[in-house]
Amino acid sequence: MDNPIQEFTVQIPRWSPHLQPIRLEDATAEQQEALEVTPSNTKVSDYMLVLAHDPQSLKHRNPLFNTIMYGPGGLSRADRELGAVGASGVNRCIYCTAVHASRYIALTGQPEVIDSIFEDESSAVLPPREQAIFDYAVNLSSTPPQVTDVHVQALREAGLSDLEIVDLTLSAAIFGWANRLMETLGQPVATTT
Amino acid sequence: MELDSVILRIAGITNRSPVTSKLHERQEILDLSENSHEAVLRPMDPGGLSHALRAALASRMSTMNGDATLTAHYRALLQDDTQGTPELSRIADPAHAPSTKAGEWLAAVVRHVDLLTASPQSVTKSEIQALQAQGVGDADIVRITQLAGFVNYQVRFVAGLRLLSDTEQG
Repeated sequence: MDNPIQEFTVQIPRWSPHLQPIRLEDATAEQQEALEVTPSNTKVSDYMLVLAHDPQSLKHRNPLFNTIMYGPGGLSRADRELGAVGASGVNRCIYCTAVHASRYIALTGQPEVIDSIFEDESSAVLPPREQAIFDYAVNLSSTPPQVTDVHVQALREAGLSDLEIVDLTLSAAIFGWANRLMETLGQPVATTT
Repeated sequence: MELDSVILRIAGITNRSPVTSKLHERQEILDLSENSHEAVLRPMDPGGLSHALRAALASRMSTMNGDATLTAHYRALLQDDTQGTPELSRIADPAHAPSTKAGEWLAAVVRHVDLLTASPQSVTKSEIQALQAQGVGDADIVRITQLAGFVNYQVRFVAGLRLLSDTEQG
């Protein structure tokens, strides 16, 4: 069975690549460096092994992604995850949405925010602070972006500082990148348990 | 400390902008973004995608995203590249769809970049198989996708910085 999952879910699917991942045992020194393979870290996902076809871009993208999502200071982890969910919903990346919606729920204990987003997508009605964050991420993620000073004003009224708005911009923007990798180089399929 | 990066220049952020003081706290992200720009536009191993073709595709995607300043940046990269051709200059504009007469490989690559930018959710396994059937290798498919991913990230990072700078409360 190779039918991709089409509906939003918090059950994290398996990611099935469309391209042949590189074989770790064949990886060049540059690919190993980009994958951060060390003697104690030899477990590498198929997703990373597909991206390793282009090691120079991977080498900078991975630390960029991690610093944006998990770096210290500024916007909270949970709010960054909400930015990621907003972007991933616009791009309909089922896999990314599942991962980051479930992290958001784990961090906040607010499944009802995710329930509303899955139900009504970009027109979801949320509590004021979550609404401002979600609407900004959604409007930044369309092509072309439709975000305006009205959205920034809503973030300021919700109490976000300029640094927090920079961090929200980054968390939504990096998913404009991650979604395009994840949903076109492979597809989400049901886990076989 | 002076901040300088392609992203700040495109966003019109100078060292006098109030938002700059916040960006010092995100120096690592600006640096990694700059390295990523180099890695997807001017990589040491470009594979089947010349630097000139990459600049043309980045210009095309910037226009699709409505960003004239970023488009001009990539147009300039293309113009400075000795491997630029009249066909690549045409491809830099999304109004131009290259015919398969110009080469099936190039037409397939441009079509894929358009899908990656405007409707990535429509790229199914059969789209990837069609690219492979046109002779686009797996590594080049990853390279094209990273280029498109980066430009779409950059467009949005810049858009947010501009808004923040324009609405600065001082």
